[in-house]
Amino acid sequence: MKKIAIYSMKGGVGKTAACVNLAYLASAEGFNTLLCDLDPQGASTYYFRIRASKNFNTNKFIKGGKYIDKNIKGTDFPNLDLLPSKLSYRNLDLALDALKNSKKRLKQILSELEDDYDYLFMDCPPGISLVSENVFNAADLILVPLIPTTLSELTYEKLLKFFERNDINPKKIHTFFSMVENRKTLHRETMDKLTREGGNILESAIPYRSDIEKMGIYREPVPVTSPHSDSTQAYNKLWDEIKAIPNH
Amino acid sequence: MPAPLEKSDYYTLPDNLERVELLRKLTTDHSFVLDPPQKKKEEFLDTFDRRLHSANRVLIKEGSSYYLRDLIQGHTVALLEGTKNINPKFWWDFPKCSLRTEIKPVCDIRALLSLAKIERSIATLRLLNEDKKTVLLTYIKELKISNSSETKPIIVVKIKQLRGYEEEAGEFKQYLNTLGLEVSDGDLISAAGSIDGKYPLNYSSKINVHLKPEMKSLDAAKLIFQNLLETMRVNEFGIIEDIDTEFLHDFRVAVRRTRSALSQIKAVFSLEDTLKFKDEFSAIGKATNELRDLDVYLLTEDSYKNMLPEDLRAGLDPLFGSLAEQRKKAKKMCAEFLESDTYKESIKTWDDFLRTTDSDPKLAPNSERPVIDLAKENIWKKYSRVIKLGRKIQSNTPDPEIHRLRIECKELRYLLEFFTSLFAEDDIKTVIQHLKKLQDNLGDFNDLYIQQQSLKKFLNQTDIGYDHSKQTTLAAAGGLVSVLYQRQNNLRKKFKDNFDEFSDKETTALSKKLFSKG
Repeated sequence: MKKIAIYSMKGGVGKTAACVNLAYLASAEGFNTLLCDLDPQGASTYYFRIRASKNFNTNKFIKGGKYIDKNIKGTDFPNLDLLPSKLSYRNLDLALDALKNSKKRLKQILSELEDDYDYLFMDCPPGISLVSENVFNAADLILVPLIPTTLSELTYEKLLKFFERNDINPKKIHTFFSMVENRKTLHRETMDKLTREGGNILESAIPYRSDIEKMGIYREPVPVTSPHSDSTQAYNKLWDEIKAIPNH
Repeated sequence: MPAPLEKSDYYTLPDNLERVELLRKLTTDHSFVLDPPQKKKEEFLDTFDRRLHSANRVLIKEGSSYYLRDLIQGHTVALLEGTKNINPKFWWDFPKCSLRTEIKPVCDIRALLSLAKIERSIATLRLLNEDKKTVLLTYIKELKISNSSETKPIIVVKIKQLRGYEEEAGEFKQYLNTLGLEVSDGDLISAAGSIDGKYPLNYSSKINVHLKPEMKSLDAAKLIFQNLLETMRVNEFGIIEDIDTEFLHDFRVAVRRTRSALSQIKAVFSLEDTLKFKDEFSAIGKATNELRDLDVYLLTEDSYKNMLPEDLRAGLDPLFGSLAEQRKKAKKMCAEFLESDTYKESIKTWDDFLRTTDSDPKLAPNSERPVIDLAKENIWKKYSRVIKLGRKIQSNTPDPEIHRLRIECKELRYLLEFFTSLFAEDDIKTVIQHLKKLQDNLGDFNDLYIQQQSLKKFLNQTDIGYDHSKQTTLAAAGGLVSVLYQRQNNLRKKFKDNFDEFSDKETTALSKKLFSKG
């Protein structure tokens, strides 16, 4: 099972959209796929029209095992399951902090799903917290959507520093440009600059498009609502590139 | 491809419920969304002996795509899309792909046959909850099958339950019960199971008779012979149409078993009848010898070539080329024989005889004895003979002596198989397993001997000129003979181990317990 986290320190960068669409594309190719919604806002969960069971909560999530098993839900799409998020995940940090192995608990929990899925996608809450550190330790691959602006550039640099300080393999991080508006000079210039400076920047970029924006209305992945759009094409290219990334 | 995450259940409709009526009920009682209906034309492929079916697989051809599906759950295990202009008969006719890898070990040298054409209409209904989330999928499948014993189409309702929505699925299944629907096998099994005609689902070349110890020996013998005759008959078309080599192989094994049974299940028929039919079956055997020999040689092509260094391999091409030519003729003659009046008459006479002949203690002294007595007596005699011959074999025993032991072992094996159902399953299996090891050793030994002889014969027949290609052929054939000779010698060394295992205290004691009188 390959574990892919979609993470950004900053909110509103197209993280959930990427997570939902990439997970859908993986499942459509026949891979058994699980989307794990870790964000208490529960946007991924909402996009798939799923609600978590009433008695599911942070404590049960942290216990793992059968509590996770019982709460995984099938989406409307073959091979794609979802572990819904709960508003109580806002306390995930505190709950993790109370554990002995507070930085690696998520890794343990997810390892129990190893034989059930080929791909696991994590939709992560923004910010940098104990939850994020758990994600960094658990994931094989950390995808960071980056809006090509100066501010995004700054937060990305901070993230790299954080990895260095905490001794996490920075090779896990791959970024891709998100919500790109080619008509904006700033976007074009920032993309050029960052690409020149190197780092793990994927070639495919996700454009700023209304069909992605409207996912909240249709509540379906973009390749389902607009299979021939250039947004779908962009996600497809991105997914192909992600699949080709070797393990570290 | 991984197994799917969703769990599926299948149901059949009660007799008083039509498909249309079911659809009407479902859509009025529940809030379903209907997906566009699908119609598919498919073809079911499998080997004659249904090897894919036995391995829980179904190979379906739809347009120019091939799907390998799980027989029970119905999910696709491997697929090959858009392959125009291939008309695969054997696994090696497929382009390299996961489907080919999957079917290779299962089909082996057997050809794929189109068993039936299937027309499938599928209605898909999604059950939604208040969020318009699908909580359950219902498929109503209608299958029309050519080559089926059923004239009515098969209707199967498939319920695909989504993870985390078990409660909704449970409620819906209860609702189906109230409509009278019953849990059934999947549509693929149902379809595969209803295909008949010349493709029996339970075909096996093994003897399949259930004897009772107190049965009259004549009646038991008749059952055995009828079973063998059936095996011959179902394989005839495959030999005539030249589908693959195994039709002839199975046919000949049945002929050989019949001949062996005629000599070994002694005095259940009159001597006159026994001799007459022995002659008839010997003639059938002879008429098919040449084709089988050629099949065996041609099947060795790859392994022969692999024994040689690469630059010598092409040297064997003239040999295999000439064998392939000979095979064409032999195949024609064999097919003509099976379609001849002589053959048909022999089979009919034999069939009539088995139906009508009665026991006659005067002319056939064993015909009324309980079969268990006769079985034990015959097996014990043969067993003792094998042990006696085997103990005499030394490192310098001439090849024909070993050949004799091989024949005796084969006859013992046949006897054990004819009468298997009379003995405790585990016991008889143990004896057969040890015998089988010994037989494999002797069989390989014999094959290697025969192969050397025929290569030498080929070398003698070939007009040896001085051009280069002929020299390569000579070198290749010569090289092969020496490899084969080496292997044969190695087997001779192994023989003692295999024989010791067969004649060890335990197996001897077991055989004595099973077969000897005292």
